Order: sequence, then C-alpha cells, then structure tokens
Amino acid sequence: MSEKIKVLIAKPGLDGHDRGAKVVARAFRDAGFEVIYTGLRQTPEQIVNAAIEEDVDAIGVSILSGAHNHCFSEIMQLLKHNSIEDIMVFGGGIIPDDDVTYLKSIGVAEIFGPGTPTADTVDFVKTNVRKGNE
Amino acid sequence: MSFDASLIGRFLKGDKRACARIISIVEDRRPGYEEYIEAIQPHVGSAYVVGITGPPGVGKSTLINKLAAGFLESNANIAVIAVDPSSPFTGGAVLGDRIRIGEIGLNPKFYFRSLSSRGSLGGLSEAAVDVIRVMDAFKKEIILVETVGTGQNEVDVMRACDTTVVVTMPGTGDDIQAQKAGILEIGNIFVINKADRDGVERTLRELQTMLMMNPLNDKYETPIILTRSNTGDGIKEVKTAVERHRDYLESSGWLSIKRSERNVRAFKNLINSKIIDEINLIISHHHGYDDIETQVKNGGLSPHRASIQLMEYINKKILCR
Repeated sequence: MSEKIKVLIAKPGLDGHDRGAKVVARAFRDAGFEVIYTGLRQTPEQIVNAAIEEDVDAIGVSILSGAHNHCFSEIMQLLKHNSIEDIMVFGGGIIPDDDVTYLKSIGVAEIFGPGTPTADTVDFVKTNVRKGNE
Repeated sequence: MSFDASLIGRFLKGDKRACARIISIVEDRRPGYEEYIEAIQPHVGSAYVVGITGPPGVGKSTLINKLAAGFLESNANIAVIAVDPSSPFTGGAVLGDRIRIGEIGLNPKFYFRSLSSRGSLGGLSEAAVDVIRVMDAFKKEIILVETVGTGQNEVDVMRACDTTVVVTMPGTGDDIQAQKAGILEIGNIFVINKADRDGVERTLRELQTMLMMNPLNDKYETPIILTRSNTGDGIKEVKTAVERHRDYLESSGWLSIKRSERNVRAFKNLINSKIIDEINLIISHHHGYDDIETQVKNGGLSPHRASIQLMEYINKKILCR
C-alpha cells in the first residue's frame, strides 16, 4: 500500500449547486487521489472536523452562494486554531477577482473559476500539496 | 520515517489529530507502522466492534448514523469506520459515507473515519483490523465498521468484528441467494431496511427459511429486524439486538474464543502479505524478468510456463539465502 494524496471536497453554506464539486471529486478520483466528499450545507466547523478526522492533505471548497469571503476566512481561522495550517486549501466557484486577491492574502492557495479544466486543478494540487511538510 | 513517540503521547491524551495521523500511518502501511501498533497495544481490548454490511444502496450509512446517535445517547464513546471501494484502475476513490453524518458529526465523543479498499490483495482486512485497534486504544467503546458486503476482503473485515449485522432490503431476493455462501453465514443480526417497500414479507420469509438451515443454537436466536433508517423506525430494536448478542457472547465465553481466533488470523494474514512483499522484492531484482514478460506478451511463452520458470528462479533465490 502506498501513501495516497487525500483531498476533502466540501460544500459550505446554503447553496445546493453541487455539480461542480462532484465533477472535481470525480476528476481527483480518476487521477488516483482519495477523495472524501462531505455533501451539501456543511458548516466551517464540520469541514475542519472532517479534515482532522480523515487526516487529509488538502481541502477543496466549492461555493457559489456569494458567502465565500466569510466561509473561507472561518475555515482558515479554524485550521490555525487547530494547528493544522499545513493542510492546503483551494477553492472553486463564482468568485470576483478582488475577492480572489483577498482570499489568497488569508492563505487560500488558489481559486479556480468557471471554465477551469479539471486537469489544471488536479495538477495544481499534485504539485503544491505537502509542501509545508518538506 | 522514524518513530515519533510524542505522537503516541498526544494520542493517549485523546488528541484527535494524533489519532488521525496514526490511523494514516497504519492504513498506508508506512515503514515502521508496526511500532505504533506495538505502542498502543497495551490500551487495546475494551472496545466492542460491530460490523455492518450489505449491498450498496440498502441504507447502511443512514442506519449506522442513527445507530451511532443511539449509542451516543447512552453516553458511549463511538467510532465509525466506513470502508468504500477504490477504483481497480486508478487506485482513486470517492469516499462519500460522511454525507450521511447528521448533527452527531461534531459530538466530541464521535469519530468518523473513511477507509478505501485500495484494491489490494487481502490488504484491506489487515489495515482495517489495525485501524479498529487504533480506535480501540483511543478509548472508543463501540466501533461500528461499515463495508459493502461483497467479496472476500469484506467478509474478512466482518470476521474481525464481534457482532455482524447484515442489512438487506425488499426486492433483493436474488441477492440473498447470491450472497448465501458469503456474508450471510456470519450474520448475527439481520436487518431488512426500507421495510415500507413492497415485497418485505417475501424478503422476510426468504431470510427466515435461510436461517432455519443454520445449525440450532438454543442460547441465541438470530433476529430479523425490520427498519426504516430514514425515519428511525426499528433502530432501537437493532441497538437492543446488538446488546443482546454481546451479552450472549460474553456469558457463553464465545467472545474470548472469537477474539483469540481473530489474533491468530491476523497473524496469518500478516505473514501472508509479508511473504508476498518479500517474493515481489526478489522478482523486482530479477534481471531476466522483463524478458520473460516480453515473451509472454509476444506469445512466445505461455503464462503458465512463464510462471513455472519464474518460480524456479524464486525457489533458487530463497534456497541460496
């Protein structure tokens, strides 16, 4: 058995648009990752708790409700609070450029907007994950 | 990777992150994982392990979630280990059992961990058994283990449990027939979920008929329970049935017999997989291997002849040691 890269795909907030999250989860699976899918309407606490219990390397957050600044900053704070900032966080959804700048400033590794080929997301995670441990 | 004693220290203090990391080390079979198992071994032995199995889509995850909530209400410390299949082609997996965790997810006495079967030969059962050990040492009193009830791997996981609950649903009569030879033989409790659906009487009758063929036991009668896990109907009865089976195992002395057999089986499985690793190492150092494989590919050598040739080489290597 080998060490697999584990990714948590999470859907915080109240929007029910999970197609994107499911497509990305599938792309990671096909690239040989282990994907934990949380399902809809997860609170930041639930997401971070799942990340701890499953010992994941990265968290991918899909959000289309417009509450991204709030949700991401909660998640980043909770990771810090639990001393697990080494988990990489990336995101996808309808997120304006200005907000992308803000999200990166609080430690989100990358935001993938609409139209991003799934291969780009997978490659990004493959290249950048576990950097904090090295 | 070197052994990190501080990780064990944090683990024994109840740090969830340390527990999660040790599970990963054990699950991945990272070099030196045995040391972690050894370190926690003195703390193993108090958990009661309940396996829940059945075909995909019968409602196992929802049932387990409700059952876990029931045990949490009795103030027990609970873990759920959910095993999902991985792709035999890419090794990847989407583990979706967390979707069914309701509000109990953030209860500090609850721990949910997904495991993928990683398509390994028999490796799943050993890794899962060791993950059960880790949860046990983490002071979990009840450990619920979920598997899809098909295939030898899953049967092996269920054999590592104290009580096995087999879940089915109406309209899967043929499934019951097909499963007869496997998981059904080790079921201690049967659950017909989605019991509001048509055909529940037929499924019940089939299960009853099947159980009548089992050897008679005047101390324990295998129950069949009708449930609707989405509404919670029948869940209490499942919990009671688990407790009753546990009482039976404890009072009859079967529990300790079961557990010592389990240790022997774990030992044998570990030896088998270590032998396979060792042999594969020999093969990987064999310069002639590529040539044999090419000949098999070209049709110059039959797969059987090639395997005999390779075994001769391996036998020689082993004798030379």
